[in-house]
Amino acid sequence: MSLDNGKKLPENDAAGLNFEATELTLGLPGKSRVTSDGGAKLGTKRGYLESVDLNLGDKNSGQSQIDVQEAAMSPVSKTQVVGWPPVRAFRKNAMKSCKYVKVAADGAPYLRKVDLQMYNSYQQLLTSLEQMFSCFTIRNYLNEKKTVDQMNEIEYVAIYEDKDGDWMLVGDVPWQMFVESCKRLRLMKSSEAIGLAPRTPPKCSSTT
Amino acid sequence: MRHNRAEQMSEDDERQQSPPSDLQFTSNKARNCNATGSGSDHPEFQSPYPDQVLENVLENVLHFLTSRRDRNAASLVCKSWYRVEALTRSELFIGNCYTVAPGRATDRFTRVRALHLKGKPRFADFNLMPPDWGAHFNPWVLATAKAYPWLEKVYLKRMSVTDDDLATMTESFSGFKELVLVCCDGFGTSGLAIFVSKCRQLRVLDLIESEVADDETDWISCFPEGESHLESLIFDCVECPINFEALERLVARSPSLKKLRLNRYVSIGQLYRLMIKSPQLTHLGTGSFSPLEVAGQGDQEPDYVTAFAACRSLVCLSGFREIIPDYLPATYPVCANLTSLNFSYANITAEQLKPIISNCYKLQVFWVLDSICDEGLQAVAATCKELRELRVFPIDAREDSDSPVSEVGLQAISEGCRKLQSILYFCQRMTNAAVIAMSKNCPDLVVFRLCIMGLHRRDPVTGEPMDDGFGAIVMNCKKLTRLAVSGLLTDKAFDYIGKYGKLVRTLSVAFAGDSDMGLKYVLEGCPQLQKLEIRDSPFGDAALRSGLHHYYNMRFLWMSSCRLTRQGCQGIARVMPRLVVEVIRSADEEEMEMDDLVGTLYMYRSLEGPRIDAPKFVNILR
Repeated sequence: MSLDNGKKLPENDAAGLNFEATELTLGLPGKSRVTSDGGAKLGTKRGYLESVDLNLGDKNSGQSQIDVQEAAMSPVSKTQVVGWPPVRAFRKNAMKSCKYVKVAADGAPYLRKVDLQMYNSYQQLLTSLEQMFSCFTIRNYLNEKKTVDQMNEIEYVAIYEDKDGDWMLVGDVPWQMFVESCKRLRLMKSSEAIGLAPRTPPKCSSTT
Repeated sequence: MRHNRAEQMSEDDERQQSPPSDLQFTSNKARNCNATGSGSDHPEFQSPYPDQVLENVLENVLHFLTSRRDRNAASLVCKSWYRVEALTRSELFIGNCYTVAPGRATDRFTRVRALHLKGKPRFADFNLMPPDWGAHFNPWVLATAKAYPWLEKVYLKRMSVTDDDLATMTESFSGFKELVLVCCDGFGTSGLAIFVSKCRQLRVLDLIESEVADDETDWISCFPEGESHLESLIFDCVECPINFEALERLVARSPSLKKLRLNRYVSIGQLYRLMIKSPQLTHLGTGSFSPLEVAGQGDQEPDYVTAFAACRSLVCLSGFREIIPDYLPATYPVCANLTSLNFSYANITAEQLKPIISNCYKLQVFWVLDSICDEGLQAVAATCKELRELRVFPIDAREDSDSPVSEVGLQAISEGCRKLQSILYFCQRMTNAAVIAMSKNCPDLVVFRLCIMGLHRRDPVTGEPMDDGFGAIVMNCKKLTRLAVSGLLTDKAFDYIGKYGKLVRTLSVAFAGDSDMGLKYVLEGCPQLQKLEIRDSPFGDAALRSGLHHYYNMRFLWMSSCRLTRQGCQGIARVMPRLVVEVIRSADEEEMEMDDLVGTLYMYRSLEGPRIDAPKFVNILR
């Protein structure tokens, strides 16, 4: 029987009910307990594998109950085990917001800072930036205008400085990649954005 | 009279007087210390109370004994030594607050000046224990208030402390000097306010990783006016805004202040103002290390570099809670002096780290996030040749996250930092080869904690379990006392630990092992084992029985989500009367039947029997 040499365990695969998932066990019918934060606490009380040991000389049969129940119940989403990895709540909470970057807008008298990890998409980020700099209009990466103030319609383009120190147009790379590489943001007046030609809008919905 | 003489001797000791040189002190005398008239051989000892002279000498000598293990040994020599040791013990350490009742401790040790208590087991930090389990400081504060009005120092870890307890301390201990609360909870800013306002001799207030309730009380303003004796003020874990102006005034009137660790509500501009008032600092926690929202684009920012340069004594730097990496270069002036650097809340890249770390050649302690990647660790290895302790924490602490550190980083550290003694390393990917390399390159390792976050991960190169890596650690690191294992592990790994881990005192196991044999190897093989914490591993009643010879020597055993039955645990309780066997169930679990599997077993020796403050979800088996 082949081993999963370090690849992700099959239960992460949507199709992945693996061989072990159909093993007979002494577990109670797949009950999971939901913890206060909504995470499911699986199999931590009762029922364990291996009473019917289908060990074919392969250590892979020693999977935990958690994996099996998860595969049986929710093959797509993987719920977290309580208290694992062993990082204290204080530290976990502190990590929730730790990607602050400065935002400078041409012509604005003040800088702001935003926590990129608070957002899941460019749309959310740009909406938030508009609220911060509410008299400006920001042209988003899909080349759609989002006008807040009709009277003073100054168009801005959002650009960012990446890890290599280059200034890039916001929206070129996948969101997560952007979060990781963005060092600072700038809202540049469209009129100055020569050389940063608007992109052809990709064929996707505007809600990313 | 005897009491007075004894007291005099202890005062003498404070002035470091040596015993009179004409006194001869033979081992015979020590053994016969209870006999009468034993001084007849030596005319110069003709005193009505030869034993008393002996005891006074002993007291003088035992004052020099500071190690509690040595003291425990000394107290077992004979009754006289027991008595004298009890009189001279000034720091009382109790590793598990339930092993002994406060009254019993205060009866035995009558001259304690410093109290050090530990409460909950470590796994409580990870939500594996329901809240309100116990470890209340209250009975201790009441007992010590009566017994030790001269108490100066309290150090608590994982205890529940209330505002009332803090108030009681201020009322009872007029000369109180140092309060250190690590991983504690149950109190809030109002308790702090009372405490700081009344403890006028306070030198140290260290709140470390504790949960402090926000009662919206301005506790910083409550420090008394006039010059303060503060030497250390650590409040980086306090998650509520503070009155900065009051803090600034406090720092300005604390000339002895050496350690200051700010919380994330202090901006970098405010940090600057504090630093220029306290260049004598040795330990600094920088707070957010980020400016407030509003800052003019063209405005002059303070000269942070100069502020850091003025702190010539700074050796320990931490904080960076909301870091904007642009400001990192301000720390350049102090890098060469740093022995301790904590970047574990700073999401920085390898590129941002390198200019800093390349100057930190004296660094001994380094805590960091895995955002620096293997490349960042390579930079650490290249410069930090004096490194003793490394902790690499995950930015994304989930079982299936991506982690940018791996065996590459560990290998680099092992090659560059040969003096390493302690490591905590979170990753998703690790090879046996790298762990084996570390075991050979870093023979001074005392603490080895590797957390491969994905469950049951094999060596990605060989496909093997991680047994050989951990085996090499216990085999080659002859000083190892603390070990935490992870990855796919068979019973073989535990066989290694039992065979070679002869000095191991603390062992943490999660999702590991195949059968009872795993636990048996450890319980039978590790004579120094004190703290054993196990979760989600297939160890059952038979394995539990194999430790009966050793449980009285341990501080505790924790086993959650294993294969223990209530019957099995009951069996242990019956044959071990001095063991408290707690079965803890989670809030919604029903009362269980005998052959049901136990959720959590928490077991510890105690002189007191079942504790009276156990909550409903704790069942103490008898």
